[in-house]
Amino acid sequence: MLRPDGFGPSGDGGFGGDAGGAVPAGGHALPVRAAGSPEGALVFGGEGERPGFELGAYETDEDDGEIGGAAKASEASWFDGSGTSGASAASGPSVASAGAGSAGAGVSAAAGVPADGPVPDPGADQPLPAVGPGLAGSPVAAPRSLFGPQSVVEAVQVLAEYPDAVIIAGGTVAMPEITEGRRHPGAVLTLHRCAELRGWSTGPGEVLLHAGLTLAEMQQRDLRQQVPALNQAARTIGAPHVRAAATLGGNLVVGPASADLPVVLAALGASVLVASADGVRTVSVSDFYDRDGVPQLTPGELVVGARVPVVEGMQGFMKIGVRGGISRSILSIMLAVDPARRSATCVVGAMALAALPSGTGRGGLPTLLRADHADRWLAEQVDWEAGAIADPTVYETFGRLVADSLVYGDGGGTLGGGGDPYRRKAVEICARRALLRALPPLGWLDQVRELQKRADFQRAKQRVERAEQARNQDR
Amino acid sequence: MSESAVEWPAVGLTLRVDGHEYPVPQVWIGDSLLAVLRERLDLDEPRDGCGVGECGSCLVTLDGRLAAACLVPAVAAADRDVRTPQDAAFEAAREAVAASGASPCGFCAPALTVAITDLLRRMADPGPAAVREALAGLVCRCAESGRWIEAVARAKEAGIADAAAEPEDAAS
Repeated sequence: MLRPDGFGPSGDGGFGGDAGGAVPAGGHALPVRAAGSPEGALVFGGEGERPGFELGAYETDEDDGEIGGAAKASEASWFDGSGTSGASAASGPSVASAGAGSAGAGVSAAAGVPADGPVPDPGADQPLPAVGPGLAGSPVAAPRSLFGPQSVVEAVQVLAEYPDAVIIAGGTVAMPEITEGRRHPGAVLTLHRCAELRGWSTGPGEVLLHAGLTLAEMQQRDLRQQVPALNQAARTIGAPHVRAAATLGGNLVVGPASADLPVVLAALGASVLVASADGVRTVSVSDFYDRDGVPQLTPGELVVGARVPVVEGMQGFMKIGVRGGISRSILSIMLAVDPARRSATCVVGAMALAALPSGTGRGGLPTLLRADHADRWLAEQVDWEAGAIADPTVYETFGRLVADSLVYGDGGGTLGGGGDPYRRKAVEICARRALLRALPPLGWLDQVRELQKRADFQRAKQRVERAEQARNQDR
Repeated sequence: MSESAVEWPAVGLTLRVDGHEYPVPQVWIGDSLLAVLRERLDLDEPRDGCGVGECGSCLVTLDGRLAAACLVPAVAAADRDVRTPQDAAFEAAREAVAASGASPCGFCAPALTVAITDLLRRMADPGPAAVREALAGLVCRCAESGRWIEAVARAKEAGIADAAAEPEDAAS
């Protein structure tokens, strides 16, 4: 049965696959407020065009009784300025571009409504089915409790009506909460059929990560080359089966108290795209979280992506967990160097939830902690022409400055105040090492090159000697 | 969603597991795929370990991708191709696991077969480090990883069913 979705069965797997290459550079235009549209109205998929959508309330599909009956998917491609179906299918996320998903989306693209048509009221065009088939013929009340939107437009419409719906993309955050009874869903919104949210796309000087990009897909080579830190961080998060499901959006919503990607994205100067029925707003990752690390989302909003600027310099991500293998972070630290702007940015986070080994201190620094003054000081110490640091004491000092800057709240959470000596020490060491890798001491690279040359010479010499010995033996 | 009583909204859905269609009436929207597989369909090869995605003993593949069944809402698996460790695709890995004693107590043996198969589909010839990384999600306390590496080597020799064909089947 051909479904309009399909979870990218193209076998790219996201593990070093090259499927990302199929994304054309042009497919990056973001939705903008149309010039003639009223204030606050955001046009998805082209000016004046409103998609004709039908909310995919699963239990209303009485003809086949399965999910996916609502094949009349809107093709308001949220990421495309053009909004034409062809461009959308081609510029869609890399996962969908090769699989059955794009084919189905392309077929269903024709279901548009006339321009300037009124936004259909989700509750009006489908009367609530009062009774559905139940177990042993008993009548079952079937209110709208399950939504599987196929586009961002549909998703935000659902969220506007049901702001309490539990949003499930990868399920790695929401499902444990539901299973353990901490959350009781009155309605569930699954995003796995939303092809627009999958994958990533490139634009001039930046990468647009869609919210449904899984951590496994972050390890694709194409993306790795542009934003290496993303791969470094994604590899440290969770088990392979978690990485195959967990998405960027979920990681951003969990927040920097325990998640690692906000740390990476904040250091890179990325911004989060948040969609709601009113449109899409962009907020920088640093401003996305309040001082308690809670993402600033109002009910009815959906994180749909993140724009990450592509920079040339070294990016270093480090993480310390409670053990060598998979574990929650005790801390994660990210240093991004931008030689073009002659700046370095260091951000520390993920320091709240994981319990420390006993006796090493307390946690409770739930927010992103920037080391702005350390960054500014560092920028003056670097020989940007050589991409190196002349004074070897800079490394130690930088580590100390970063650790000093980690103040939270009224100062009671200061790492340097004796509250958490373990983390303070760890931050110092990590910052020092990250800097050492990103910006080596002046002349150090020359020394390495010299040593390599000498080693090459030795190897060549040994080869010649062995050849001579062999000749002598033959004789 | 109006009365004071806690509501348990339920839907009927059809799961496609190991190539068979199972209609399941009345699934609570918060139920995990694992719960439905074990409690409703009596397919108990995916083990119920922690229930929150930590232990990895409930591994299945979903449209050809590795997934922890406890982290997948059953309603989100309804239109997709679910393969439990009982599926024939995991036969080679299952025998390799048994032959190398990679799962002494047997609890996580089904998950191990899925993880090994998934690894070999992604990498033709994984080294020991790659094996350790790929199987890191299985929290096993009775086998040492040398046996797992041996199991992967055996499964590789036996040959893993071509993965590329499987998702295509699912789509058609």
